[in-house]
Amino acid sequence: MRKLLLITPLLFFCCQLLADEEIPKFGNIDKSDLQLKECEFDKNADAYKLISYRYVHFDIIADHFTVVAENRIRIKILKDKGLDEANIKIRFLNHNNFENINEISGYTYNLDNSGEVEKTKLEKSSIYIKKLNNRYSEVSFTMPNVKVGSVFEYKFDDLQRSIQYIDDWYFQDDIPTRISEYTILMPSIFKFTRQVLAYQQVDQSSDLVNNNVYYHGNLISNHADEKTYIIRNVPSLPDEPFMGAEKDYLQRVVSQLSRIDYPNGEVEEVMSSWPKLATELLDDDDYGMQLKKNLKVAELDAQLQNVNDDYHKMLIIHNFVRKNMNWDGRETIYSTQGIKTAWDKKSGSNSELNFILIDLLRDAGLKAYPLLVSTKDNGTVNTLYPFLGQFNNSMAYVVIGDKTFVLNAADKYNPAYLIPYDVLGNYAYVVDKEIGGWIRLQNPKDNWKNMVSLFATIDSNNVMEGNASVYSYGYAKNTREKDWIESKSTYSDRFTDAVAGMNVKNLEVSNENVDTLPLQQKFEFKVPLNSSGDYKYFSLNLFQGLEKNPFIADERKTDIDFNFPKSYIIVGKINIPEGYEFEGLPKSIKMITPDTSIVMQRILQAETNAIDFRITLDFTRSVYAASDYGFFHEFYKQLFNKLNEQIVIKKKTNS
Amino acid sequence: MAASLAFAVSSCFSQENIYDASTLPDSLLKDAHSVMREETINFEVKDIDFAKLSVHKVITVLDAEAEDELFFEEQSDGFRKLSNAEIKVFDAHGKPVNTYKMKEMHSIAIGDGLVVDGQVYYFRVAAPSYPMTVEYDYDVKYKGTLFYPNYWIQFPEQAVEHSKYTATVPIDLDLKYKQQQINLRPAVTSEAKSKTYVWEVKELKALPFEEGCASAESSYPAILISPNKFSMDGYKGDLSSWKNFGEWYATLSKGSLNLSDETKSFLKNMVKDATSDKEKIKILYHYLQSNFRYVSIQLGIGGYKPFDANFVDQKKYGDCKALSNYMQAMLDAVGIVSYPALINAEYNKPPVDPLFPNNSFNHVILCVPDKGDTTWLECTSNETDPGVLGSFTENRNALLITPNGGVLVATPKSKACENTFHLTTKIKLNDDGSGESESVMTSKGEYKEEVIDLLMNVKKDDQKEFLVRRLGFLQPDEFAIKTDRKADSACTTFNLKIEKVPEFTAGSKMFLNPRIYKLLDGSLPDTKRRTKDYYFRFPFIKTDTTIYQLPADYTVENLPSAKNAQFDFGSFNTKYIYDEKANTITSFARVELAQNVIPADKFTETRNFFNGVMKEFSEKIVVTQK
Repeated sequence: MRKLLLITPLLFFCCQLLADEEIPKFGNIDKSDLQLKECEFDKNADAYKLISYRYVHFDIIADHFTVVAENRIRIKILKDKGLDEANIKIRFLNHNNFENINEISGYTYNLDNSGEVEKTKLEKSSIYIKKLNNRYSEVSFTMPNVKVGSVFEYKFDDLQRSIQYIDDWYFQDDIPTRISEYTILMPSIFKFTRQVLAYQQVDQSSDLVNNNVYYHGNLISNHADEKTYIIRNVPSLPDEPFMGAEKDYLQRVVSQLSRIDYPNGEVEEVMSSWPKLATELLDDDDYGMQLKKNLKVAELDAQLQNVNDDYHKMLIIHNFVRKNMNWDGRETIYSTQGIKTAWDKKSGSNSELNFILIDLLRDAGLKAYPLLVSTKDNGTVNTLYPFLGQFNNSMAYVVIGDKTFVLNAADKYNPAYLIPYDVLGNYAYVVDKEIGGWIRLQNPKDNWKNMVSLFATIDSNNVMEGNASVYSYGYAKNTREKDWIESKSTYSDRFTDAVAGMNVKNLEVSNENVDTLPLQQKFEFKVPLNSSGDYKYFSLNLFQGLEKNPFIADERKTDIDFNFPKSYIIVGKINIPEGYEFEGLPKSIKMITPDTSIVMQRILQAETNAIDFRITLDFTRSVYAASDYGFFHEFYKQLFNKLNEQIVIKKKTNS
Repeated sequence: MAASLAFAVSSCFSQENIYDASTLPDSLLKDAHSVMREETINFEVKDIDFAKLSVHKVITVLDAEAEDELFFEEQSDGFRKLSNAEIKVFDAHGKPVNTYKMKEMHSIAIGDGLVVDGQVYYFRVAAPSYPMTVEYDYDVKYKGTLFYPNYWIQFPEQAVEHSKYTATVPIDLDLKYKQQQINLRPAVTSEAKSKTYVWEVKELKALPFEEGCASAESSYPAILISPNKFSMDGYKGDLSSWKNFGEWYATLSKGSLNLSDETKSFLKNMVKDATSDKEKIKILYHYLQSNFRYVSIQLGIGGYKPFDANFVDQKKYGDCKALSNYMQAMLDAVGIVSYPALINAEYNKPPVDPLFPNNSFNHVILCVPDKGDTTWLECTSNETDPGVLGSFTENRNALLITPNGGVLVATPKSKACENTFHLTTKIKLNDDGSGESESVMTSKGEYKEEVIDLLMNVKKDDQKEFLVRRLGFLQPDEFAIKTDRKADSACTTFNLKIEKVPEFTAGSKMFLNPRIYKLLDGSLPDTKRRTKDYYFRFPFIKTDTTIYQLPADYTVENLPSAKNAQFDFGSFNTKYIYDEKANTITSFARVELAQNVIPADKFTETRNFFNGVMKEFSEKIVVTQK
């Protein structure tokens, strides 16, 4: 990835921007945009955002401090696939009237047969509002008269009754943007901390303007700070394999209220520090107070009766909660329904399940603490920015002697000794008055390892028949264990799908309930050999799922994130029929990336009637920057060429 | 305490405790992931516009593969209001462990498109261990009676211990039903004003799941139930015949064909030079495809009333009904008669039964009749050719909405010659195994749409993805592509630079694939005992010609043998020729599947045939240094 730089205004001139001239007025269209055939800097784009604009300002509406965001979007449709851009959905949190969407209007522009601009208005009657659930509603509309070549635009105001959090501004989207402008005007009594994360040039300007704000008849502020940020020609962010959270790559502005300087000289620290947030959380009814509830669980007490060491107690409680509670799919750091209700319903949000786990661990005398985490999908945690919105789960952090464990009760398969795979590499915050603070969720010793061991014989009818054992260790075990438990009948597909004619029987899977042992998958297999004339041939690359190269794209915009170092092994012996011999065996080889982080090794040893082999593929890194993609891509191409090489046998001519 | 509770529950039933998984007979466990222990469905029609349903189910879930049975999901909307939903959960021994009321369930607004249609209540029951048992109870009030709830007796991999469906209807309305995949007569009793039907089954063994069969709702035992007379939002209708149902549908869209005089003359002007109706249809259809777009948006009478033509004319969008209606209005404006046609779309849906008029339609297309030369138009696609439907709506019975009511007619049969894929590749092979190739690909019908969608309209890396992943091409180091969209076909030319052409080498020999991509990929499911027809997406013809130009110092050591395989529904032919003078190898292949539905008893034969096609690719051309 091109690294997102933290841009501070000090690095820039405060230049007077020509933005107002640059951004055409709502309702006015330049004919040349209607004649446009492609986006000049992203030629494959299906649609092109010509204007992406937000102006955020403060207002007092019905006694509520309100943040008003005026939004404007103008989009050019370049291809059929871009037409869906004209179906617009705006979701908002209307719980307790917190957020509202107003002042929606829009136009579509086309060129008519005589080459004149034809303008179609979005009618009010075509705008719908639906309540999605108790918290969220959605405004939806579809722009009229849109076809390939059209330009349409719409605007709306988004009103939120809070000045504490201001929605992040994203300069970037999944279609390219010509100009992305963000302006924020706030009474000077409100001090914000703000981060601009970008790799492109951001034009900025600041201004101090006169602006009187009255609250209950009192003048509380007489001027306001205005800041504007502009990026031009912003490319789209593609969807790529192994890319991690989209959010981490999008250029953006993040703001949070930090302080209020009242006219009387009083200063209120709104946002101060992580420890302060943690203290507040511990006092929060939906957080710390939940950890003081008392759950009586006779069944669990019975299981714990004769267990004395803390580690085993932890395992029993962890498994008990995972077995009995169902995650309802909600991701939040809070318990909204309360853990007692969740316990009774046997269903709750991810944090509710974890609070129950922490409660029960503490009842058993263990040291367990809530741990604020963000999953990979939710994005990287920014430790410099005390904002709880970054997290989407509270896991359990357990300290036993000098060992620590991170448990997620909402994940039924991740073993206690492994950090949950979906938060690996991220920072997390332990919420506790004494031991609270940041930890990095990383343990270089834990990896993903999968080993195939096989022994087979080719008979005179050219059928290869044998036994295989597959051992899945560490992170390789979780997903397979889940598949085995939840979809047994299709489990062997992973071994048969990739090889034509492959037949697998007598599959036995063991150790699924023993955390410390690898998942063992033993089976018998049978596959007819491929042949051409006198030649028969077979592949040694069996049962690892390494048939197809996932990295065939020539370009890469985002980092490759495998989540953990991986290790593949295929080892075995194959007997060939009497009277056959090997024809030009592939060589034993070793391939290493320039940075030595990926090593593939193939050792072949042929006897008269058998071949012994060992193929290993080891990664010592789990993340590859987009800038490394050149060598990575080339290595993968060669790797799959080598993996797919076949062993050829031929009937001896003189026998 | 627990024991006495279990006892109390079991005492309600004379023979056994159905909440206790251990009471299940072995015969019901075989091939089953769950067992319907008890099911009682009571459906009562009070009046033409009011009916009530109550459902009670007890299901024992045997393992995680039936965990879908632990997911409760019911819709509630203006025509169908859900109430009193409750879930009870029991452990393996039948001990009650939990109860969930409707207010504890989650709900979310739903709607196919932009507009809200109602809510779905859902809840997932936790499964600490298997087996376990769940009990579902709920009531539904119907305010629209177009649909009577069908009796879905059994789905695959579920055994049924006891199930009973009772329908009570006013004698003057009555109902009609159809047996599907089961021979089961109702017990019918009549009273002065009402009539009662009771269907009941016991001890049904689990049926296996057969991959690739027709849609589940048409493949497993059920009683399909339908009203004779119904009412939706005050619009009374009649399902006793297709004709009458068509009349009802026509009332809904009455007056929706109006276009302004200005639009009419605009359209007339557009076709003024056309010499035939066919040409006019083509012009107007093309106008529709390039200026209007499909948006899923349903309004009015449960989504049955189309937007009128004027609305679509102004907004330039609509759903299938609205766009078909608009196309009809345009044709009408230039004096061509056409009818909307209701259809049950999706390649694996069997045609509706002409003898059982009911509403199982989910899509609308347009039919332009012309004695023996009818034109069918799919109005939601920007790519299809006029007159070509594709397997989405082919092989079906469509209900034409004519001024004289509904008329059921067959849509065209899918033809292999309409879905063709031709590829010709010339490849120059170098000493070091690298090569340069040029391919010309021409595709029609379903392949044309695929190529437009996945190759022509995408970014360069996605084009590569399509060639390598979908078609199985060797991974190119460099490639260039030219596309040409013709009226009835998509034509593509691409040049590849490949570092390693041979599949593998052994000593001085190169093992080349018969072609540098895969003619077909993926085999048919390995169903042991096939009882149901197998559905391909569409019939097709694929042909390939690949010409290898060998390096000067190489010659052929082995060519695969020519194939000439035939089976009831297709054929596969290959031929390999070495031209010594030019030092080229030419490989020809042609595979045809003549029809897309394969009868169950021909399945094994079909599977073997396609395995043979796949196997051919594993045979190699062997070339060796002279």
